Amino acid sequence: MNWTYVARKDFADAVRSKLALSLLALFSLLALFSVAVPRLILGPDATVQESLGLIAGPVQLVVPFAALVVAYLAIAGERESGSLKLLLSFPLTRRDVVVGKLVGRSGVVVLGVVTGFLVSAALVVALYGSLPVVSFAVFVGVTALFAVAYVGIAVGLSGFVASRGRAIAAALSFVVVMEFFWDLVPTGLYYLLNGAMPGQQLPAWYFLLDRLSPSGAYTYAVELVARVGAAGLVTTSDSSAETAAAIAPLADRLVGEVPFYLEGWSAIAILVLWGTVPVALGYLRFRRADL
Amino acid sequence: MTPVIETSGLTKQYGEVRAVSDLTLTVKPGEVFGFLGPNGAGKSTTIDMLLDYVRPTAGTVRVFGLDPRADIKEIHARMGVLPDGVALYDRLTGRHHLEFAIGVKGADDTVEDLLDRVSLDRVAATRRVGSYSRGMRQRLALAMALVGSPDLLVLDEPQNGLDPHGMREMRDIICAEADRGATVFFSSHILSEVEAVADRVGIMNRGVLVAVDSIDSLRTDLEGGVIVDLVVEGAVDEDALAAIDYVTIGVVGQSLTVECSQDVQKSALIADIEATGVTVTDVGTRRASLEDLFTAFTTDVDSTDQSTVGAGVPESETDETQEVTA
Repeated sequence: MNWTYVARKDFADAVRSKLALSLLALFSLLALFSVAVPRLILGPDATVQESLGLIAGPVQLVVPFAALVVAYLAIAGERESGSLKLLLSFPLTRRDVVVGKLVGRSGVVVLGVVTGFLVSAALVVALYGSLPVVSFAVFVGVTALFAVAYVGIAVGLSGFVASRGRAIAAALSFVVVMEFFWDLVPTGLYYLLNGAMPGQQLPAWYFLLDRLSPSGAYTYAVELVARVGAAGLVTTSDSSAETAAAIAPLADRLVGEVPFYLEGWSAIAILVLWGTVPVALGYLRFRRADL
Repeated sequence: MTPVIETSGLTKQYGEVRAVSDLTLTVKPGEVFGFLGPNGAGKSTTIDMLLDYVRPTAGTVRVFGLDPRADIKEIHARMGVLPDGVALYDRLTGRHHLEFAIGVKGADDTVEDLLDRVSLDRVAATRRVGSYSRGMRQRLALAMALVGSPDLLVLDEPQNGLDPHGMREMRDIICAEADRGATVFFSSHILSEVEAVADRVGIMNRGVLVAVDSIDSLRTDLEGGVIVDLVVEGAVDEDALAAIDYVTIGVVGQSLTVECSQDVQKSALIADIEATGVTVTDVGTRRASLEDLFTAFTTDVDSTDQSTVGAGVPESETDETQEVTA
């Protein structure tokens, strides 16, 4: 289990960076504002659900960037600086390095996420007097999985490239495509096939494409949490029709039966795939590379 | 006894450039082997193939009789490496580095003992490596290589970044490791460093191993050797000069460098040279040194044997000058 030494080294190294500290601060601030703002605006009428529900949005935006920033240099950075040669001079395979990096950097990002949520939990208790513990814990778990998926993507991309410059380009391209343009893919494809914009009733493939991006999968997974946790973490009082539609039970919006790949767990499975497949591909490339 | 390092027909091609060409080399247990050559000669690429950082285009490598591609963990568990241009983790302390090395090798060394062996201050070990000088980094990396008393030490340009005092300590450590029974394979472009500690040397030039021999027999070959430096006037006829068969003559413009044995009569030599149509205007004589031999080996390929391999092999070093310090 020599990869554990790589993971510990990597965690110790990353935790000492200013970057990791600023991430921790960012997550905490974000959590504080999300919880405090509704109370300040809505006054004593604000509910715990409304407050917690507000966290999901910013988290979905910040986590991918944070994870990519923490992990995009995991392998490419050490390859460019030459410290990879020092690391591999010890009894370690390249797989040990990739696994160790994945675990070490995931640890950093998860630490940030958990710290942020703990801060918000403390504030929730202070402001509202109670906390829906189970759904809150599941929410944190799903968010941690989302973060690890992005670390996996970043480490995978990092294994594909030999320099910092290319690692930055790869990470940025990925986040731009997946976070900003992916929404257009199901809509665009629907328009091409049907000559009309998507309506209320949609085919199953539309929903599959919609949840295929990491943040798409995360959104659906959070929705699952909202239904599992009786407290309902995601606010349904949001007036926008889009959100209401997204929260509406899938069966009502689907043409035909709910296929297995749209069951609640599929979003979790997609996140797990994002966390494993890119890093496996990156490893296969890295394994064959001349350093 | 299984050789510690054994390569056969080892070749690495980068596009058009052949960094290492058909290298066949054996290093026996307990040997201190000096791998000598100018920067860019293919030394680092060869070491990279021994360590499985780079995969050969052709040929085989065996370390402890094992294949680096298949048995990297077994090999590296018995090996200590000082990579070239040592890059460390700037945010971690010296102690972190050594604890990592001890842990991953499952060794029972203590951090303090390792620090003492490479003369690194114990207080310095609590500081972040980012604040270290180049020499301190080199010492720390060497200490990491010594963890677990390895059977084989591979040191790529170990004297880089060290002052003369540090270089002497490096020599002492290499000798102490050899006395312990370790095999040492180290590369250098500094002849005197290799001469001081190596049992045997291999000289690389432009990707080709041009000579492998013990320091002693290299010295024996040179014994009684003399270099005569001449300046001449008139048209130099290189073919006629080459026909003077009891000496070897190198020509650069109007300067001739003649390698010959001590028995040669200088007056007869000058007469033979003037017979080719030139007038000798200046004569100087000096004893041949290992440096002359090294220079001869690493420049002859250039002038007489250009067809052997691709020229101008870029190694990881950026410095391409053929620097030789005696």
